[in-house]
Amino acid sequence: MVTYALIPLLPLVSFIVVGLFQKWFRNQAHLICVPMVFLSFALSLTALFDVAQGNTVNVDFFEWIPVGSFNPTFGVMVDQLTASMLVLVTLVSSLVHLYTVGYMHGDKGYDRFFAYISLFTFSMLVLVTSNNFLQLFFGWEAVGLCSYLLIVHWYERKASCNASLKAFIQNRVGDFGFAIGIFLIWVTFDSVDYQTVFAAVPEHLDESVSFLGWEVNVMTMIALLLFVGAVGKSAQFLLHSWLPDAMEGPTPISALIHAATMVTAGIFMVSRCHPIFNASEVAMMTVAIVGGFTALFGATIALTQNDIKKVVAYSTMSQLGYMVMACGIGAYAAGMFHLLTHGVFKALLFLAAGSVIHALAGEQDIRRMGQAKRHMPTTYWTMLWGSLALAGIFPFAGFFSKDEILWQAWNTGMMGKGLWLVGIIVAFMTAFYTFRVFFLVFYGADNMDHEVRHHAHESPKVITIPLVTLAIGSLLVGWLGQPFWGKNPVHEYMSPVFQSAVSGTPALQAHATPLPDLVTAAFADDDGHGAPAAPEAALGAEAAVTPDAVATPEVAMSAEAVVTPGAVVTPEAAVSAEAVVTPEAAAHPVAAAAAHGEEAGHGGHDKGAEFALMALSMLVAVSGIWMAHRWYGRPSQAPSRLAAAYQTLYQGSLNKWYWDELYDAIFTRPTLRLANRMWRVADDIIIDKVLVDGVAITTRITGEILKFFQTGRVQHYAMVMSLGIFVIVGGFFLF
Amino acid sequence: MDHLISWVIFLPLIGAAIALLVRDHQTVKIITLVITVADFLISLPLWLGFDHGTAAFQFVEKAAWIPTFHINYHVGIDGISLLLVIMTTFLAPFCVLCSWHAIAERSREFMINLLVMQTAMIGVFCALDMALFYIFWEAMLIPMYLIIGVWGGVNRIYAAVKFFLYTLAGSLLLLVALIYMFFNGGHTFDIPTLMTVGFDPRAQMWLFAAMLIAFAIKVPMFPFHTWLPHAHVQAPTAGSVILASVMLKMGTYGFLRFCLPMLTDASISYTPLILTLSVIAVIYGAYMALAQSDIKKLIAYSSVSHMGFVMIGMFVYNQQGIEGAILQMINHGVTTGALFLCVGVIYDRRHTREISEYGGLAKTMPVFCTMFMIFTFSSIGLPGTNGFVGEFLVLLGAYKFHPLTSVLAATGIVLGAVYMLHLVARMVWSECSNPENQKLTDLNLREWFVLAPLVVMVFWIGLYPAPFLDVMHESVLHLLDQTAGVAGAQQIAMN
Amino acid sequence: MIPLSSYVILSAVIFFIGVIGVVIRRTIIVVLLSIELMLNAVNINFVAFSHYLESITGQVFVFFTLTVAAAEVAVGLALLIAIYRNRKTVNVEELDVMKW
Repeated sequence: MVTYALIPLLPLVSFIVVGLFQKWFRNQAHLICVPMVFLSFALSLTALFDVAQGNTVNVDFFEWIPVGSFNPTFGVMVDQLTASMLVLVTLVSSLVHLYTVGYMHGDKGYDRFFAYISLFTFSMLVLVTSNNFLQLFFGWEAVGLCSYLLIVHWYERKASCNASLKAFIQNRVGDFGFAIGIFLIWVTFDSVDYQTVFAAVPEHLDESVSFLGWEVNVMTMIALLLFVGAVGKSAQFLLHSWLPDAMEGPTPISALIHAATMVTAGIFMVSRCHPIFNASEVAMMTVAIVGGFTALFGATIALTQNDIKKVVAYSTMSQLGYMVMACGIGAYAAGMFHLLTHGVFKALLFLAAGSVIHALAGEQDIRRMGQAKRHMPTTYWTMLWGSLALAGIFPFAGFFSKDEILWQAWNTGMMGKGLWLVGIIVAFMTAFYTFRVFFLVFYGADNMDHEVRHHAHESPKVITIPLVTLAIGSLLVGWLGQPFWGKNPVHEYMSPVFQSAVSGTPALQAHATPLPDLVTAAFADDDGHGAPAAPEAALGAEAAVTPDAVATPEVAMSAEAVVTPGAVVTPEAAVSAEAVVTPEAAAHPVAAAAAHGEEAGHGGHDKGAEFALMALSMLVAVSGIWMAHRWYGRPSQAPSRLAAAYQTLYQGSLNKWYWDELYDAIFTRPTLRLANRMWRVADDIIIDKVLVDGVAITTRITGEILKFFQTGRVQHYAMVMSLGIFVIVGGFFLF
Repeated sequence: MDHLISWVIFLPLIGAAIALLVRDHQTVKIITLVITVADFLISLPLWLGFDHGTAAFQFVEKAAWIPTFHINYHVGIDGISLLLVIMTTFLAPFCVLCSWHAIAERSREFMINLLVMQTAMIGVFCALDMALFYIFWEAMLIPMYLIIGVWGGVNRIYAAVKFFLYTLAGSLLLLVALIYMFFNGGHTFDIPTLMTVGFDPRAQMWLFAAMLIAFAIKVPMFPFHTWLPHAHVQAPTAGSVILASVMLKMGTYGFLRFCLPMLTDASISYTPLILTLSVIAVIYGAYMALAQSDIKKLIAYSSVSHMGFVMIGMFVYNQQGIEGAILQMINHGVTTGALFLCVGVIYDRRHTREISEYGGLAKTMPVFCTMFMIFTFSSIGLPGTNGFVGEFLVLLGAYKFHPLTSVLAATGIVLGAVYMLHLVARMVWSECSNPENQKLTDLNLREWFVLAPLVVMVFWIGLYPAPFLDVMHESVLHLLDQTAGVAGAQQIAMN
Repeated sequence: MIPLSSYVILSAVIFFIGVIGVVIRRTIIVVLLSIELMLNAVNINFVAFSHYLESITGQVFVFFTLTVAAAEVAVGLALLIAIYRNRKTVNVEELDVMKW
């Protein structure tokens, strides 16, 4: 318990020490930061294994803002979801810390940089270990702050300033929605604690709130508002344009914050709040569509970018879209799995790109690279592995996680089929642009400047060691989620979270499984004899309620949920599952038995389909790589001819579909202009000069007129006085 | 110690009397510093000895003062005023320190003004007799008028006169309301007694209107805010700090002390108006801040925006909102005060407040920039800083009362990030191209001592606000009791 | 028997002569004389009403008024001399220092 608290606190300690005593470190800040974060990593590993044995932890340390029934705390919650994030965050952070020692060597802000990445690590760990929404929000904004501070690390560059501002403000727009989501959660549930809220979801399913005159289901509203936060943080479509700009920051930051950890916070949050998302079909569809669209959108832009980091950034955006899409179809475990593998291989790609940039004296334009293979073999090999992983080539990590998502999408009704199609197109593009960069940098024509080529060198050990570690990781980590035999280990590990008593059923799958709790029940019931072992109760419920649904592919989803048996059942899940299963299953004993037989054949069929789809996506990926090789592996006219033929499309993609210009035209400039106009006209002239000073001026003018009556001559006063008497006396007589 | 509150109120006045007898400027500065620190120290027992379990006024002192008119010297504090008193005494030494060299001429008279003003300000928060309240309320104007008018910038006379007349005009309406309440509330000025009177609802509407104008000018609410930028820009640093940190709170404090408990029916009726104006203030202030090229003006407009949050919090009739509002008053005092102190630091070096004159300060003044950034993030309400706790509670309470208000006001937080970070980008980041800026020196020890305690406060309230919230629970619940019956009905009507 | 109204009309006429004198004459001395005229108009009224109402109070008041008038003339003339010494004029048109 205390050790878990140490996981975030250790980086905080190094931040405070380095931050306060920066002057004394003289570029030696890594001496404290690196060991601390490695220690954190070690503790995270112990957490991972502890949790695997079912020892989840949820403690409150102190009350943060106790006001009436609003009582958020600072606490630690470590379950399977958190533990896997902890390991990812601390692993990537450790390696990035190490890498930074080499990469930022000699930088003026070396110690400051270390202080901030430690602070970032702390914030991210607070975010993932939170046990309530407000602490989540704390971490959520704190990582945004660190991102801001690190993007602006080279503060003298105008581009860094603008990028940092943009990142913070776009994130703030997302946080705005997120905060309102928290308000609504509190108003609805009278609590912001995860467990209390999730447990109470079923009681509030049918409530609605009014939103600009519409009555909206409260769960839909909450889920959509929270998702606005995720859109901002995970750079989904509409709030995406900060992420590529954020590449102005030093490369280690791009790897750590803008690829592996912070940007995945949105996916983590959606997974964490899955009981709420599951309860709303509209929200799930929105999530799925936004994710799918972002995946496609990012990939189309990545095709034509010429800045090596921008390509990787847009690919990050696209992959985040994949993960969000996975969440949208209810395949949270698949989304989290892709998050983990992506964290590893994307960090690798960024760090390798950083290594290239470092070796080529800061050159980032891939058109001025080429034939780098012979200068930097280690970087070449590690980048190759990373690219293969991103492209989704067996047996690298991306293959497993991406195909898992595609498979789950395939199985989620008509919309899922559409998303699958999007996914497969994106997979092709991903393979193409990834290897476009790869071939342009390491093969192709040698376009380097003479000066640059002369100095091109392999990076030092502190840089290559993290690269090699991550490369090995991107080869191995995918096998954690292997689908070939037995049970999928990642699903098995995550199942206590995503199939817990409070989870509910993903809304898009609810057509197929109208009795959500029974899936849970089945899963708890299953004794773990492997995939073909029939999950009677679940399919029993299935068959009992919608008998015809059994034949449709949707059912596979429920089968999938069941494939992950309860080897690691947490006590509370088991208890609640029992409570649910007894009456319901008893009600349909016959149907349950009938379904048993159906399922046996069904499972086998599904495996076959899954392998077929895998083969298809492999084919797609390989053809993408082949195309990249044909066009960029050696000098070729094909790309420029194609660009000339489809000028509109090419320019659109190259200019990011003009999204920056659009925002500039509809938000940035009108806002500034409006502010200026309003200040000069409304505030300065109308309110201040006319109204306020107007009163003063009226008073003065009145005085100016009246002062003529004061001549200073006694006789005038006497005359006015006597006239006054006449008037009064006269009036007295007249009336 | 007996008569603790009286000591806290009048110690600065005694100090002023002593300072009058001393000719030497340096000695007067030291006396003032000692007095303000001593005042802070003796005000701490108010907090430490405060009984959390009751909503009654504590440390009460009462003595007949002008028996003919039933005016008493009656002072005391409850959970609402306690923190404001502590904040006033806490900030006073920093005002003295930041004027140490900045006020070169007539520094003796300046210090005396500061001391007199402190007595008046603490008096306002402690007074439990309306006549006494009014006297302190008006007495405060004079030293402030002198501080702006004598030690201010180029356009000081205009700003000082505007400040004085504008607030005075409002105060007179307050006086009328007080006199009406005296005659119709049983010939007494006693605040606790008047809270139990229950005025005629029709009369309440007029009384509320009068007080609304008086307090709205002080807060300042939109559209009564235009004196603030002038006053802030022209005032010396210490004047800006006091103005922003303490004087603006008097308006909101007035609403809490008079309007809500005494004029409950009218408060409910005026709630839609006040919430509308406050939401406008939040967004409008932010927009105005965005357009400024003068640092002090920018912060002044940001005050308009932040005080809008406070107003919203008070008029949503739930514990979260009101406690958030009170905490936000403290936060605004700490943060905006600190921002003005920061501006003072660079103004002392460069003698300009134009943002375009600065740039790349991170290079030459790293410590200063770090602190300035911390206050900036506090101002935009980043979690972990004090600004977050207050604003979040206010918006949370507002959401419970009327969601649209909360949603609209929350856009102010986004805009807050825009204008503050825009300022930071132009001032702290970017290239240090101006040769004047390249030879700037970082904080000296005195400035460090001024800003560091405020940084501590930012994080203390941000991470562990319980000690501050605990003292106000009972008083706020009591206040809610006073308004409860009507508020419930109104909420239904509004939705 | 002369009716009361005649006295009142006489008094009013004298009073108005005094008022007009105060308002339009430029020399302070004449202004002072006009004030005396107004006082005496009042005195006529006092005496007339005293007789009419058969009450001695009005006549007592006349003595007071005469005393005050005498004192006033003394003070007024003293002021007049002081003003003349300062300003070398007794023209009221030029004495407009009540305006600042």
